[in-house]
Amino acid sequence: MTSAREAVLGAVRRALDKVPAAPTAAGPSPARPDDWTAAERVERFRAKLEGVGGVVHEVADAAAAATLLGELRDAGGWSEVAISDEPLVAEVTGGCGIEGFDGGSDRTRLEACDVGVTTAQFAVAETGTLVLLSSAERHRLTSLLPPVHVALVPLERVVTGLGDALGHARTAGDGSPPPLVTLITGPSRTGDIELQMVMGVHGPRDLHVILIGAAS
Amino acid sequence: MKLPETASNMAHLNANAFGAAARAALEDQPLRSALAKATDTFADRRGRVLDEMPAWEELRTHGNAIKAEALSRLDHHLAHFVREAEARGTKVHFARNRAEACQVVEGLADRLGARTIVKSKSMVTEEIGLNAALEARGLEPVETDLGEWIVQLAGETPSHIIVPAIHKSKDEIARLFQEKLGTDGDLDAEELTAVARKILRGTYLEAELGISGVNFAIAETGSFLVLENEGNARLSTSLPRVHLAVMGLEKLLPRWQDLETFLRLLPRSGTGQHLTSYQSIFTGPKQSPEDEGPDEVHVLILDNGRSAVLEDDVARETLACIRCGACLNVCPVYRQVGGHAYGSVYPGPIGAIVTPQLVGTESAVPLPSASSLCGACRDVCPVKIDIPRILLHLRGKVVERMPTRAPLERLGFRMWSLAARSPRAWRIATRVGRPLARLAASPSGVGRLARRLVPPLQGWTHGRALPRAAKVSFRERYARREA
Amino acid sequence: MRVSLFVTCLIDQLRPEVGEATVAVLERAGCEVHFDPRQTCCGQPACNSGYREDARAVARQALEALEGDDPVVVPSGSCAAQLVHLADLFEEGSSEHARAKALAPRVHELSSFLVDELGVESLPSGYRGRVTWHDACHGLRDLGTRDQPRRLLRAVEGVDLVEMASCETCCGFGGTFSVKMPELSVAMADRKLDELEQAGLDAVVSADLSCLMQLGGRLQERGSSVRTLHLAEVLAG
Repeated sequence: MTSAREAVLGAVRRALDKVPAAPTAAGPSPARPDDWTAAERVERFRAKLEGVGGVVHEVADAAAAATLLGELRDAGGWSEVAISDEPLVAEVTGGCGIEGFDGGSDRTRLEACDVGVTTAQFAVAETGTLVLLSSAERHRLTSLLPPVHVALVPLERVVTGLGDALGHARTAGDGSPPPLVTLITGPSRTGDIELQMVMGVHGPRDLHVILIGAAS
Repeated sequence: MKLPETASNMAHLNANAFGAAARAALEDQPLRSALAKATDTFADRRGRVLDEMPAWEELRTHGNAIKAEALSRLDHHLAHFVREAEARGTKVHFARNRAEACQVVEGLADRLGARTIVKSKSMVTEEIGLNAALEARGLEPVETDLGEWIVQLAGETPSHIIVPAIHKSKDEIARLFQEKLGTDGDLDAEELTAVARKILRGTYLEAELGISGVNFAIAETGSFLVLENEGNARLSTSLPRVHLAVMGLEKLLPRWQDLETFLRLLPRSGTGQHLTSYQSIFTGPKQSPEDEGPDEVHVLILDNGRSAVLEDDVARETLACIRCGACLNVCPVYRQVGGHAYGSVYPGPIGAIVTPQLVGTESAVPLPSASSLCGACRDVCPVKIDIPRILLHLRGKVVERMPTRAPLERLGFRMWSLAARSPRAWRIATRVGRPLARLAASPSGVGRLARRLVPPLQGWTHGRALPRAAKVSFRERYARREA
Repeated sequence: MRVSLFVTCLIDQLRPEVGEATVAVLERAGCEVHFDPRQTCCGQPACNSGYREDARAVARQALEALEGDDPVVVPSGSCAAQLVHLADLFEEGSSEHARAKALAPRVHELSSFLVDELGVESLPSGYRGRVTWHDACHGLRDLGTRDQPRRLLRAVEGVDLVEMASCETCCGFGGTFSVKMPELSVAMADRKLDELEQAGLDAVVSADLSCLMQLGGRLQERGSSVRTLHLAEVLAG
């Protein structure tokens, strides 16, 4: 008896036996944005992300980010904060006296956290999107389980288009894509009940992005 | 191979009842207003987001070309995908049909000793009736997309590709939650959503296996991609120890680079978004030193009638569909009757061409005819599938493969074509026919009888006045004028 | 310019006045109109119902009646589109396929012929009334006829053209669809007519008699006073 694999691959091969190969469509995607200046990138990123319910902050440096994060904590009344393993996250949370819990190992505790703080490997101006590479940081669950996600993004990580970020991601895991590339554009949302938009259905209800290095 | 439940290779198939189901839906006023609101909203949102995308036609052309390339050498791309995926530690399974596909999942669940299985939205698992198969073995598959969860709670099937519970009002959902979960009967959408979040969070944490669909698979890197807004797919594929993705074999794109075009096409077409909230691109299980995410990643590639579609030069492009649902939202038929009337996992214009090809012409006879051929679906299709052309092609198959079906209609068309292929016969037939047609349209007793008994007249006069044929035809008037 | 008129079977048998109006309009635009009485039907009813063999037989007759070099003018977007796509019925390499391919570029829907080929900007017409335009699906989506009829209508002094939000929505006719699924077909018509009847119109105008039969038959049943007119009737008015 042939295996299902051989049977299916064989059926596909036979079906296409007399079909000529269509020409290759390899090439850049149409509608790629031109290279934007740093200021344009920040402006577009903010406009796009805020258009879908995210909040974008701009600060000059890590110290200012720490001050801002402290203010957000006080305003939001956060007590338990989950953090990823990126040094920048430790620096900024430490800078405002947050003793972060390094998520991942204890899911129940992570689940109970008020906020998760991570960085993103890229921010895409074209769409207001954060790009998280699993090979670069331990932020898979920290960015997902708590009801608030704060992403710290150094300004040099803001790229123009989706293609720029995806191009980097393509080889980020030792020449391959890493096990997980996550693109995040705004908070978790649903319109499944009478098309009424509700935030935070399964993932974070609030998304804050703190751009660090902006001349604000 | 013996199939479970029914002989059909699609679960819940009832496509031959389209006519009766459509008539019933037309009587359901709440359903029709919900459909009108939903389809208008989506068509509007799509229009607005396309206004900001001047290169939309170039994108469609590129999407179409990538799919044509992928499908024409699908054997090659599938083999490439398998090689690359396995090289990165993904376990790849194949299934010829529904039964084999369910067996693969059952085998995996057995090995894991799984009881609770979380699922994120996947049309193809609906197609194979996976939930019923798993439940029959005492397992508990839980849909986690809010709409799917509601539909599962109600014991129903989805009625829209993107908004599964489009047919249910907020009040119906609140009553459903009250009955099944014991919540108050008057919760609003926010509160209902919060209930779902709370319950499902517990479920993700206890599930041993997470099952997702696949929007696109990439041959070059052995990767695959899931798009969503809710985060349930992220949770379903991050918390359980094992992730299984189920895909139809047509989902392949040749290159990583191709993703960019499809990320621009799909959300705009489906929900009128620039991008959905989340995209997860999976390439194998976690690599040391990563300590998050599943230990095992499996992909199940399903044929279930698809390879046969590849052979058909006209219909092959059916497999280019990226399941965005845009054709449903603009279809004047879908708008009136909704998804359930199609009696298929795949409703609307795309369902009307997918279903007969997967389950066989004879098992979905009315679907190719469930269209006025207006072409709105073709205009919005992000990969330019010529749905009306394929509908016609499939109508032709019904006529060719079912020679004993609709003998009167067959005879009628033959007599008509015998007349219309000769000017002389046409002149005689129309001279005889016109007075009869005038009589049939007249208020006389004979007219009324004809309108009641002659099938096409009977159909027409259901709610419409019959036009009267002319006493003297154009050609006769023209001949007099020339003379 | 000499043109060949393909009058369509519905106009020929049901509303010959539309054919005569078409001739009048074309003559006013400076054409010499020729009608070949060997024409019967384009074959669309059979083709759309899957009876390809019957459709082919009728298509052959259309090919014969429309032989020559003159532009073929059709007062129907649907039949024009069918004539443009006749080659799909025949095997590639066959003589009929070649003839159908040669016919396709000669075929023009009436309003696009007047505007795009003849450069007509306006035609003298005494028609007066508040009307709306119904975009018949095949003219709109297969042939790209959208602005041409509107330009011609707006150029008629007595015409007050009102646009409907649902102008591009299918009327629900769809050939045999209208008799196979009558409830659905009527529901589709009602979606348009509900909007249309609010607008205080004298007439709904289109370039396809099949849509006009569908909308007109339903309007009559609804007891409405809104008339259905073919574009040629308004322009010849």
